[in-house]
Order: sequence, then structure tokens, then C-alpha cells
Amino acid sequence: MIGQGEGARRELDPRLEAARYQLRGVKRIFVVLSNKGGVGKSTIALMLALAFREEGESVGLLDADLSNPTLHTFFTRSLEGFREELGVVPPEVVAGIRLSSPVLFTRGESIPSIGRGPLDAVLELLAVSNWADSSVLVVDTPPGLREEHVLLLRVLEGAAPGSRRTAVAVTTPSLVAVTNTLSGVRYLASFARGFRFIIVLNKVVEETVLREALHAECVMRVPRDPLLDEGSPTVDTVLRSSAFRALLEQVRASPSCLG
Amino acid sequence: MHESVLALGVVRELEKALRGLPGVGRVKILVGELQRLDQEVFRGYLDEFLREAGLYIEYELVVERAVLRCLSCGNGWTLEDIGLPEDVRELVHFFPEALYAYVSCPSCGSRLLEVSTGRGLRVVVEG
Repeated sequence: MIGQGEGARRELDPRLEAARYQLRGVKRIFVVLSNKGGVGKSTIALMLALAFREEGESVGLLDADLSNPTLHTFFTRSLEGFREELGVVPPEVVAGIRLSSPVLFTRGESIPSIGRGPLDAVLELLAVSNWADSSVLVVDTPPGLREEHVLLLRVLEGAAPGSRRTAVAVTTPSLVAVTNTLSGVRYLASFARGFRFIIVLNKVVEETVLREALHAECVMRVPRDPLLDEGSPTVDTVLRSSAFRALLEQVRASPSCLG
Repeated sequence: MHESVLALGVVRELEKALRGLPGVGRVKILVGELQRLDQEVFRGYLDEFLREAGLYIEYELVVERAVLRCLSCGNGWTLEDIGLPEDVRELVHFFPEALYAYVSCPSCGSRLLEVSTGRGLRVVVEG
């Protein structure tokens, strides 16, 4: 319960229980995060969604980056309009993948990430998005280590107690990025006990990362792919990329790695 | 329309909050104007879910007027003052934070604003 005790007066927030209801059918949840921007976090979130779809899952994608949502830019389908049923049924952006995003409601305008706004917005998105037919949920988050990340991990622990939950920390191989990412993981893992943490090493050119720095239970490696560095990649570009094929192979080779 | 899901959320929170308590005090359900729930529909679901949960309580449903405040010039205003188009009201109903995408201060034009009251749904249990 998210509420405040105040003597004999208590205030309750029904959105957590609403979110719990919306997530009741979701078996696996992946929260994709990175302490550092520009490491390809959203692309990895999309690749994971596509990989799980290849494995026969029905996938939900949630863009929790309120001020700079970008997941929708991979798809050609417009996010204008949605079906109402016990909230909002996120539109199917490609076969087998539904996307919920602030863009559904803001028509592309940015909303500020200040004050209580982001916390309310994350809770509201979770409470309003109907994932009844999704077995896997992949959540893309803003870069950095912010209140939204803390809230998301805590809310998802409470709202989806029956699901297997994984935090996917994305980094590039640079020492700075790896160091920052591991620092963030250590912080989040200190309280988000209901999550397992894995590392995705993105844009790998060669094996340059200090192996000893990566103590995570599971480390996936995604090669740099020039296709994804050109302009704004679409879902078709991602599907054609060697980076996606490499990720898909690892998903298939180590199913235990991804819950 | 997500009145049913929110009503379910209210009842489940009440179940947790009231579990083991000898008596039930006052329950006030505050519905923010921005959320614009259909009160009749919402009340219908609430009553149904309360009955199913075996919670025989009385509650008061109160609509909180939405008041916005400009953080640049301090101006305050209501939704009536600006008249949001119906399609925008519908989007804000589902996701109140969407308001920040559509509204600016009628006095100075700044979009740096806050919703002082009447944002969403809250439940207050007293006594």
C-alpha cells in the first residue's frame, strides 16, 4: 500500500492495486535501465521484446521515459487512438507486441519530469494499461538513476508478485559506462530484492571490458552494428541487424539468463 | 473507461487497510476533476466490489475541483477558466499528467505549472 499514516487518518492510493490487476497475466517482467544515456537502452528494450516474440510470447512494451519517450519511433503505426477496455488496451504496434507510452495521451508533446509528476505518471500508466493478453512485459526507463526507477522497481515488486522480475542494466564497453552502470546496479539491488539483475553489454566491437568488473549472474553481449547507428532505426532495421540476431541467439542459448 | 479497475483498486486497498480493525470509521473517496470518472458507473462498481469483498461500509464520494497554479507567475485557475477540448479531456481522464502537454498559464503562457488539487483518485480513512 502506498499511503500515509497520520494518526487515525490514512490516505490510500488505489493505483497500486489497479496495477496489480492489470499485470495479473504477466509472467515475466524486464525493466531496462542504464545509468548513462546513449548506450542503446531503448534499442535493447525493443530487441528483447522482439526476441521474446520470436519465442512465441505475447509481449507488452511500456515506455516509462516520460519526458523523452522514444520507443514509438521504431514503429510506423501511429499511436493515435486506442481501444478502451478496463483501461486502455495498448495498440499492437507490430504483430505480437503492444506498446503503452505517454505518447498515447500527449500526442508527442513532452511532459516535464519534475515534482511528483513522474511518480504519478508511472503509477497512472501502470494502472491504466491493460496487459491482459501479454505474457511478458518489457519496460524502458529514462537514463540515469532517478525516482522513477526506484518507484518502478518497488511498485512492480508489489504489483506483480507472481511474476519473475529482471532488471536489465545496459552499458557500452567503455570503462566509464561500465563503472557507472555497476554502481547503479549495486544501489538498486540493495533494496529491489525481488529483482534479479543482468547486464547487457551493448555496441561491443571486441572483448575489451574487464571481465572481473562484471560479476553479474548473467552478461549478454550485443555487437556494434552500423545499421543501428544510421539515422532513426525502425523495427525492420532492428530485425535485420546482426545485433538482434546475436541477442536472439543468447536468449535462446541461455533461457535461464532471462528468467 | 477504467472506472471498474479503479473501483477494484479502491476496494482492495480498503480491504488491506481495514483488515483486523474493530470498526470502520469514515471513508471518503476523493475523485479529482482531472480524472473525470463517471460517478454513477464508478459508484456502481464500488458497491458491487464492496459487496463481493464483504465490506459493508458507508462512504462519501467527493469530487475535488481541479485547480492549477503557474509556477512562473503564481496565477491560479480552474478547468472552467480555460475550457479544454473534449478530446483532450478524454486523454487527461486516462492519464492526468497529459495535461502538461496541452495547458499553459492563461496569464503568462508558461507551461511550468502544477496541479494544486483535483488531480486523481484518493481514499481517506478516518477514525
